Amino acid sequence: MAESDAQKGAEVRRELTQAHRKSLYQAARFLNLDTRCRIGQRVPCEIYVQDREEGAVDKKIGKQVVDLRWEPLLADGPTNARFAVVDYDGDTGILQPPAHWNEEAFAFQVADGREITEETTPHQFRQVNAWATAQRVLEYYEDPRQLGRPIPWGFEGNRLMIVPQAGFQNNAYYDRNSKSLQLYYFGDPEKPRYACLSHDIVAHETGHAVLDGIRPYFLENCSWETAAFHEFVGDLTAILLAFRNNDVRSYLEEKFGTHLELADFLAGVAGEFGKYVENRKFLRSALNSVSFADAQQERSAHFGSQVLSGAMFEILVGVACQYLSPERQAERKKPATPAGALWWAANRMGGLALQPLDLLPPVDVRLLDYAWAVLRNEEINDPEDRHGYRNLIREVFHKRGLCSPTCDGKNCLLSPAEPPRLPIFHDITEAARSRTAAYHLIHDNRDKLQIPKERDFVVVDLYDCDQLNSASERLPRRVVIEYVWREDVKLDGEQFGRWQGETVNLLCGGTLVFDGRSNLRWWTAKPGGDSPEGKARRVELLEHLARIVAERRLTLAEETEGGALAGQPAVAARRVDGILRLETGLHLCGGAEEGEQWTTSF
Amino acid sequence: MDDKLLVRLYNVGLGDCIYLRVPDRGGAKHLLIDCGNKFGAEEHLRVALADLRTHLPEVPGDAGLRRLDLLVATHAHEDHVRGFNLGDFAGIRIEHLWMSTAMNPDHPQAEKAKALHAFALGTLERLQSSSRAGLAEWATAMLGLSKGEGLDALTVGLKPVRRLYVHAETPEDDLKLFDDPAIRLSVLAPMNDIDRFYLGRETALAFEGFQAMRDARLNEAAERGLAPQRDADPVPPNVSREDFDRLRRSLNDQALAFVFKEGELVNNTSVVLLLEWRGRRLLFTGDAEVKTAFQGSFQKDRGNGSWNVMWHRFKETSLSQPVDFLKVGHHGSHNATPWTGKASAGGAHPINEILDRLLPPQAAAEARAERYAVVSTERSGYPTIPDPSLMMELGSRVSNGREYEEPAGVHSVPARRPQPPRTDLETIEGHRVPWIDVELAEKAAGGIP
Repeated sequence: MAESDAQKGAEVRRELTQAHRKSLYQAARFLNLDTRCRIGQRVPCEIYVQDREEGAVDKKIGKQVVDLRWEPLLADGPTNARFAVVDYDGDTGILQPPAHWNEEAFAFQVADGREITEETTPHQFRQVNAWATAQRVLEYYEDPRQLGRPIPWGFEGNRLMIVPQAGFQNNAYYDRNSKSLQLYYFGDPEKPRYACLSHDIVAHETGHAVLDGIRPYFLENCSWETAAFHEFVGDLTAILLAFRNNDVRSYLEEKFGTHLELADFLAGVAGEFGKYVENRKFLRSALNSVSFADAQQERSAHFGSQVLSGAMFEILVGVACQYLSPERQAERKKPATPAGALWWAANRMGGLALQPLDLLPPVDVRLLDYAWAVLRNEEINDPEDRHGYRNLIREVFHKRGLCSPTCDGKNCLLSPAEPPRLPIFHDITEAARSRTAAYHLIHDNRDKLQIPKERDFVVVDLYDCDQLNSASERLPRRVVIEYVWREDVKLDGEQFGRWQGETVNLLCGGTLVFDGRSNLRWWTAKPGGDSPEGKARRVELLEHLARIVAERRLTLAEETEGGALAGQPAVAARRVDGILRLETGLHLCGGAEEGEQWTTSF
Repeated sequence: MDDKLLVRLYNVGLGDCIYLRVPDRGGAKHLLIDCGNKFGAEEHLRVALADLRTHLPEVPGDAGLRRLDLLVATHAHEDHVRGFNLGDFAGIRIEHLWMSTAMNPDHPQAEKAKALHAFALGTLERLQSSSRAGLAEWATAMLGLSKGEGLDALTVGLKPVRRLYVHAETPEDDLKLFDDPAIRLSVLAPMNDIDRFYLGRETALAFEGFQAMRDARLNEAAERGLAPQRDADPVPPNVSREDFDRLRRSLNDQALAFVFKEGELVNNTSVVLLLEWRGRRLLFTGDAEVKTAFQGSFQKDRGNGSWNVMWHRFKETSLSQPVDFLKVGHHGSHNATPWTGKASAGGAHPINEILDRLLPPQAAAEARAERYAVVSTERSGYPTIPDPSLMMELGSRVSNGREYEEPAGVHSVPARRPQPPRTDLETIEGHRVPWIDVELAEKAAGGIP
C-alpha cells in the first residue's frame, strides 16, 4: 500500500472495535488483501524480507513493514494459532521476556508499551522477526496460488514453537520431536549473528516444517534423495518468498532486468551465514550446474538438493524471459515490462514449483518423482500449454541428468505415465468425506493399484484443494488421497555392523489425485511385495542402509537424548514395536564433517 | 621362559593395566603401563596389582620392597590412572615414572587445554543437577572420568626415583632404560605443544568465543534483572510445561560440545610407546585418537588426532614397518585405530594406509605372519566400545585371533568371526580370565615379515 493508503488504513482500524474485528475476521477470506489490510485483518510488522547480507548490498532492501493475518487470539510471544515463540537460550538458561501484543495499539510492543525496534529492544525484535517470517511462509503455502489449503504440522499438535535465540552454534534445525524451529546465534561475541534474523534461514527451516506437515514420511530415511528433497524445499521456500516481495523484484529489475541468470542475489541462500561461517558468498546457491550424476557421487542431502533448486531457478528464469519474448510481446496491445515479467514469474512459480508437491508419493520421494509431478501438474492445470512451459521444464530436467541428456523422446523417463482406469467407480464426493470412505475406493481397486492383497494399508491423508492459477482463475477442484503400508526388511549381513539382525521398514504406498468429476488425474506409487519394483526397492534400501552404517551416520536416538552423545545425528534410529525407524536430521548445514557427530571420549 | 618378552593385559573391566617383562642384558626390566578402570570394581585393580607384585624383583637390602623399573601414566583419565590411588604401590620402588607432558601442571604449551579442562569440569558439575533424562547420571560418570581419580597419587603420593613428563620430542638419552643399547623404548606421542597440535587454533578460538559470548549474554541479562531459568521456575505462559521441558531437553547445549572436545583432547595427549626388542616391534597406544575427517593427514593449527600427527612425523621412520604387537587403542573404540570402513572418493579411505602399514591385511589364517593384537575392554553402554567392525577387521589381520560367543546385541561381533583377544570375553571354564598374556620370542635379524 502507498503511504496515504496505509494512513487511511490506520484510521479505519482505529475506528474498529474488537467486536467489529472479530466479525470481519469470519468473512475475511472473501476479501482481497488490500481490503483486509484496511479493516484490521492484517497485522503490520517490521522485519527483514531478504537475507541481511544480500539486503545490505545497497541498503535498498532491508527491513520492511509486512502484514500478516490477524487472529482473535493473537498473543504475547508472539503466539498465534500455529506458532508460539519461546525465547529460551539453551546455553545460558535465560528466558527472554516475550514481545507483547497490544490489541489497542494493534502492534507488538515490549511489556512497558515501548515500540519494538532492533536497536532498542533487540530480543523482542528477533522474536517478532522470526515469528513473522515463519508465519509468512505458512500463509504463502496456504494461499490458493500455492497449495490452497490449511497446512498441518508433522507432529502431534498444531503449534510449532520457534526458539529465536536457542544458543551458540552455527546452525538451525527443524526438530519434529520437540515441535520446534531452533535458531542459533554465532560469530563474534561483540557482534553476534542471529539465524533468527536471516530471512533465508527462518524460511528454509519453516519450509522443512511445511513439507513435514504435508509429507511426514519423507523424514524416514530411505535414500539420500529423500533427504535432499527436504533440503531443496527449504531452499526453494527461501528463494520464492523473497522473490514474492515487490521491493526485491524492483531491485532485481533495476539491477538485472530479466537476466535473473545473473542474480546470485536472489539464487543465493543464507548469505550472512555463508559469509561468516563458511567464508563464501552464500551457504548454497540455485545458480549452479549440479547434475543428478554429480549428486549421486556425493550422496549428500545438502549437495544433492542443488539439482532441483538449480533446475527450478532455471525454470523461473526461463518463465521470466519467455514472458518478454517477441512472440508474446506481439500478442499484447501494450508491451510488457521487465517488472511485469518478474511479477508473472513470481506468480507462476506457485503453480510450477509448489502445487506439484501434492502430486508426490507419500513415501520415499526421489528427484525424478518431483520432475514428474511438475510436468503432470502442468498438464492438468494448463493442458493447452500455449507458452511451451512443458518443453522448457523437460529441457531443464534433461540437462540436469534426470533423464539422459541425449534422450530423443522415446522411452523418456520424464514422460509421466497416464493414470490407470480404475475398474470400480467411486464418487469422489463420497470418497472425500472421510479417510475410511477413501479407503474403500482404494481397496476396491487394490489390484490395479498394485497393493498386495494381504497388506493392510492406511489412508494417511485426504484433502480437497481450492487453488488458483497465476492469473487468479480458479483451478478445477482437486481431491488428493495418500495411502501407505509398511513391509519388514531384515538387516542380514555384516555390512550392517551393530545393526545386523535388526528389522527396518520398507515404506510403500501411493498418491491418487482426482478432479471434481471423479476422474483419476494422477497416480504415483512406491510398490512393495513381490513385484519387480518392490524387490528392487528392497535391494536399494538395504544398499542405502549399508552405506550409512559404513559411514557411521546412523545413531540410536536414545543415545543422543540420554546424554551419552550430543548433537543432532545425521540419521537417528528409533525403535517402534521392535522395528527400527530411521529419521533424517534436518540441519541448516552439514559442515565440513557432515555426518560425523560428537562422541564420548574418555 | 625368561628369555621371552611377556605382555600381560590385566582384566580390570573398562580400563588399561598392562605389565611388561622385558628381558635385558643385565636381567629383565619390569614395566607397567597405566592402572585404572571405569565402572569396574577396585577389586579388579587390586588383583592385578597383587599379581604384578609377584613378578617384581626384590630391592637388594630392603626386604619386602619390590622394584618397578618404569611406570607410565599415558593420560589423565580415570580408566588409566584410578589404580594409583589405592595405596597398593606402597611396597614398590618406582625407578622411573613417565607421565604425559599434558599432565605437567606447569606446562606452558597446554594453557588453553587446561582452561578447557577446567570449563569441562565446571560444566559437568552443573549438569549433575540437570533434569534432562539420563544427563545427570552421565555427567556424574564423566566427571569422575575427567577428574582422573588417581592423579593426586601420581603427582604427589608416589615417590619415584625419577619423574619425567614425556613427549615425542623428549631427548632419547632421557628415555634410556635398558642396558642393551639395541633395546629401545621410544615415545611417539604426544607432541609437546598440546595447544597447537591437538586443541588447534580453531577450537581454541571457538571456545574463547563461546565463553565470551555466554558471559556477555549472562551479564546483559543480569543487567535487566534476568537470571538463568531453574527447573521449578514458571514456564512461558504460551506453552505447556510438558512442551517446554521437551523443548529444553532438545536444545543443543554447546557447552556439552566442549566437554566432548576436552575428552577427545585428553585422549590425544596419550603417551604412545614403541618398544623395539630383539627384532620385535610392540606398539602401546593409550587412547590416542584419529581424526578420520582429515583424510589421514596432519593439518596445521587444527585439532588433530594423535594418529594424524604421529603419521605425519614418523611414517618414514618409526612407523614405516609393521608391528609384531598392537595394544588396540581406547578399548577398541571406533575413534582410536587408524582404520575406517567408510569409503572415500576413489577407493579405500586414506586413513586406512596407516593400519595397512602397521598390521597389513593378511591372507588365509593358516598362512598368516605372526602378529598380535589385544584389546582391554568391556561393554558398558558405549555403542562403539568396542567397535564390532573394527574388531572383525583386526581379527582378520592378526595371528592370535579368537572366536567368541558374544552375547547377542546390536554391538555384537557375529560368532565365528575372529577378533583380537579381548579381556571381557576371554574365559576359562566359563570364568573370565584375570589377564591375557602374549609372549614374544626374540626374532632373527631381518626376520620382520
